[in-house]
Formats: sequence, C-alpha cells, structure tokens
Amino acid sequence: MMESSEKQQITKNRYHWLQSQLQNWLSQSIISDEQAQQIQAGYQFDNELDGASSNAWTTGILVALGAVLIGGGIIMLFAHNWEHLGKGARTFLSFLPLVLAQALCIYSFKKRFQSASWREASATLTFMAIAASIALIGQTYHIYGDLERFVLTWFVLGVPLAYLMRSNAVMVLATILVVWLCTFQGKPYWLLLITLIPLWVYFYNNQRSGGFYWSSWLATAGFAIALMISATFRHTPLSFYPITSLLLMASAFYGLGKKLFGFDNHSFWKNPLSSLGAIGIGIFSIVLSHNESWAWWGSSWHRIEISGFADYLDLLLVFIAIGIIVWLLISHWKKFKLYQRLLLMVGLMSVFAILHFAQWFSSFGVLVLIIGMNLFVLLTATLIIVRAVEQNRALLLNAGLLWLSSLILMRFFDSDVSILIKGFAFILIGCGFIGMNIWFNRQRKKSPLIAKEGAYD
Amino acid sequence: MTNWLNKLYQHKVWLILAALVFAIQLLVPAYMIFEQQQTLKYGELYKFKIRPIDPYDPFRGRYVVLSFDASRNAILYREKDRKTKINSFDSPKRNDWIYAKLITDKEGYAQLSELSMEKPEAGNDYLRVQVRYGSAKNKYHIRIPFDRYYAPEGKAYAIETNVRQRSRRNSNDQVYVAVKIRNGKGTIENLYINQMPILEFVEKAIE
Repeated sequence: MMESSEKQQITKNRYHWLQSQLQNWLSQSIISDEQAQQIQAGYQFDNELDGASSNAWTTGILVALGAVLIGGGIIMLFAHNWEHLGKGARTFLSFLPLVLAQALCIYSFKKRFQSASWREASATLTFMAIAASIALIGQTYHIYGDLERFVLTWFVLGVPLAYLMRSNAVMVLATILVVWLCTFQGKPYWLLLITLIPLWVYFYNNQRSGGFYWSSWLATAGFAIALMISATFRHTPLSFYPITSLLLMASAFYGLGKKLFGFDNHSFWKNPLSSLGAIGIGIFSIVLSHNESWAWWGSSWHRIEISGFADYLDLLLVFIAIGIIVWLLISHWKKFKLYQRLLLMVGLMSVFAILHFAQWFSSFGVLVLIIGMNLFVLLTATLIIVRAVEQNRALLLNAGLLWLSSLILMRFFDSDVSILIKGFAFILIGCGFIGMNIWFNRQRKKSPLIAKEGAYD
Repeated sequence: MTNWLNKLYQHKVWLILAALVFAIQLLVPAYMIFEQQQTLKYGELYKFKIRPIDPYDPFRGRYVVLSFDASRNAILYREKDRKTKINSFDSPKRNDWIYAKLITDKEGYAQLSELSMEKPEAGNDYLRVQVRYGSAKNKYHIRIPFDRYYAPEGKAYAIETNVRQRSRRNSNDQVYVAVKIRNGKGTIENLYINQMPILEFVEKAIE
C-alpha cells in the first residue's frame, strides 16, 4: 500500500459513502475495527470540493446579473420620464443607484460576508452603478464623452471593490475594462492588470473556489489579449512577430502554471495558466509549422523602432518570458517530463525570430525553423500520447492525438495531392481517433487502478 | 505574502477604507458637475456653427450629434513645434489630445486657427481637441469633443429634421451652439436656430 502522510481530500458525499461501506465491511468481518479506523483516518472531507461552494458561486453570478438587470430597468423607467424631471431630480436619480449599491456592500460586509453570492452581487452592482452614474451625469449636464477617459475612470473607481468585497466577478470585469482600454491607443494600459495581482495571490493562498479558477482563466486570457492589442499600436517585437511572441508567452504561462499549481496537478480546469499555455502552444506551433514566412516575419512595411517607455516595456517582457522559461528549466529540470521540457524549450525557439536571427539566415534560416517546428510537434505529440497511455489519462491522450492529427492534416492541405487522397487522409485519421479511444478505454477497464482524469501535464 | 490583505477585512479598517472608496466614487461625478458649472459661470462664450445629426446611443439615450463647421477643414499644426521635434513620434498621432487656438470670424462664429502639442499658459481662447487623422502639408483633421447634445426623448429626431428641412429651404438660417470655454474645456449652453433656443423652436414647429 502507498503510504501518504497527508489526508486525502474527498467530497462530503464520498466520505459518507466510505463510512457506510466501512460499517458494512465491519459487520461482515471483512476488516477489523482498527483497520476501519486506519482507513477512515486516511480521508478527510472538504467543503471546498463540494458542489455547495461552486453552487454558491454560480448563484452569486446569477444574483449579480439579476441585480444589474433590475438596476438597469429602474434607470430606464426613470429615463422614460426623464424630460419631465428637473435637473435636481435627475442628478439625485443619477447618484441613487450608486448609493444604494454601496449601502448593499456595507450590509453584505456586516451581515453576509461569508456568502460569496452576497459579496459578488453587491460588488458587481456597485461596479456597474459607477458607470451608470457617470453616464447619467454626463447626459444631464451635457458633459462631453471622452470614452477613453470614461473607461479609465471607471476602472480606477471600480478596482478597489474587488479588494473590499473579495470579488472574483469584479476582477473579471476589471480585466475586461483593461482589454477595452488597450484598444484605444498604444499606451501600455495592460500594466493596470498589476493592480489585480495582490488580490489574485490572496485568492490563490486563501480562497480557491470555483470563482477563483473562473477568474484566473479569464484574467490570464485577458492579459494576453490586452498585451497583444496594445502592442499593435507600437513598432516592437511583439507587434512584428505576434505568433512567435504568443508562443513564447504560452510556454512561459505553461511553465509558471506547473510551478504555481503543482507538477502533479493534472486537472485541466484547476491549472488555468498551464492549460491555457498548452492550448496556446498547440495552436501557435501549428501556425508556425506552416510553410509561409508571414508567421515568422510579420510585416515588412515597418522596421522595429524602440523609443519610449512602452516600447522598452514590450522588449523587457520578452526577456522576462525567456528568463522565466530558462529559470524553470534549470531549477526544476528533474520535475519536468521529457515532453514538458520540450514544450518549454519551444518558447525559446521564438528568440530566433524576435532577435532577427532568422533574417540573418535569410529564407534558408526560416526553412530550418519551419522544419524544426514540424519535428517538434511530431516528437512532442508522440511523447504526449505515449505518456497518456502509460498514465491512463484520456484527455491528455486526445489532446496529443488532436495535435498530431492537425499537423498531419495541415501538411496535407499544403501539399498538391488530389482531393481524393486528402479525403482518405481525413477518414484514416478519424478512424485512428476512434480506434485509439476504444482501445484505450478497454485497456483502462482492464487495469485495476482508476486513474484520475487530467489534461495536458 | 498577502496576509496584509487579511487586515483589510478587520471591521474598523474595512469600514474606513470602504467609506473612503465610496466617497471617491461619489465625488468623481460630483466633481464633473462642479467643473461644468464653473465653466458655465466663468467660461468665455463662443458660438459654433453646426449641422445636427441624430444617432441613437442605447447607453445614454437619445442625443443629437453636432457636426461643426469649424472642424470641417484640416487645421495647421504650429511651425514652432515642428522645428523642435526629434523624430516622427513627436508629431500628433491619431486619437492624441492636442490644443487648438480659438478665434472669432467676421460673422461672430468661432473658428480654430492653429494646433499645438503644448497647453497654452493662460486665457480661455484655446480648446482641447482630439486628432482624427493627418492631412497634407502638416494639417490635421480634428474632433471637437463636445459633439453631443442630449435631447429629451423623442425630440432629437425632431431637432434634426427641422434643422435639415429649414436649411434646405432657407440657407440663411443660422444654426449654432453656444459654448462656454474655460481652461481648454467646453460646455454646451444651448442650441439655437436664429437666436431662438432649439427646444422652443421645435415645439413651435410641432404645433
């Protein structure tokens, strides 16, 4: 038997089931009293794992949504009679939703702070009320709309709510505002996301509810989107080599996720950084395996011009990402499996493109990089499939198969073979998928150990 | 590492911080009103010739978009700034906020004369405007920010059609907005057709 000093966390239901079974076995004299206690001591139920907590969070979102709708409806009712109201009444009504929402926050803090629904709902409502107030005041007083400043004000006034109410929903909404801000101009508005990091770390340490994973997924994706959008306004490596930069970022995310959420954590959902990173690596490596240089070279109309704070920041990020990958590889070499090391190292490959090495090689160099990328996908996907079969992990297996087959299909699309042969290739790969899964499931049923399902490592 | 955040949730600390945050949230719109009132009180009056257009903004209700005669043509960017510029990054870019000098033409309407990156030191004879796009010979098309007039529900369309019909029949009609300008910011006082406030005018036309 495997000895483990830590108690295994299971849901309440499973714990009760275990207890009843132990009673059964005791009454049938299969096990002794002592053994029953030993077994029971190995398990512990955890409310966090229970459906209850994630339910509470879903309720929170629904309540928040309902609150926003009701608030919006009230504003519209008044807006209908807006013209008959005096300026004073209009001003009063513009402030009213905000004041009410703030009062709700205080009430939640005093009476219901343990309830995620109350916290999320009141925080979301206040967040929305800020925008409503400013917009209504603007309308009443003919204050002109500078959308960029409006969104920025909204963000600055809204972010403290995430901290005050420990709200995942506000964190997500604030991330959306940052993405919105990044569409305006080349200013590095993505830096605003730094204001959310302390709260994220706090959640990471103390409150890993369903909401935490939700908001982490969205915030991670939001960071990548915000950064890339804001970079399009500049002439930096990020905007010249978007795909290679994204691949680098995905590799860094992947490694960081492993470090932060544990090397043995195979859950797809519960490791947003690694899962998003893996998806990113999967997609961008396929794009870069394509036999066209646009993905590697970006636009040839402009030259990279580094001038000003935002540009240096972009450059710094590239080095930070490389630094993270190198550091992880050196310090955790043994913890990473072979294919995981490859997934990290492929990020470093983007250095060739970003630092202009590819151009030095001229077209021949790019050819080498493209061939390298194809070999990488082929090798790593195979390693993933082998690993998945060894470890009995269906999701990982299918991810590996999907990756490998998209590479093969892409190459078939590129080539000049007839549509008939292409058709056969599709059918063959489809059969391979189904066959592999059937075989895998049979293997799994045979094996006595029910392995935990997981995603990419 | 973030255990300091736990202190935030102590009763007293939270209440003080929340009071602070909530107060600032309320003060920002309040300050917007205050600033606008100050502009109305102490600002310089300019008349901008316009043609109104009526879109629909679901977020803020109905309003009339004002198309200014003053910003129809591209405006010259000041020579002085050009000589000091180091590279292409110093010239105005799309969506940048810059300053335009205000002058009054023979008919008494406001016109924009020259653009500059630096904020003028004193006076109420300049306006903060947004660059739309560059045009030939160092000229730029700009956007005047107070380009909306919020009309009571249902009136925006009436304003737009009235003005358009009248100006088709009689091009001598004078449609303009009276704007108070202070420290580069403008606030619309009212919309006029031939010296008559627009709402009065539309109500008469409907009767």
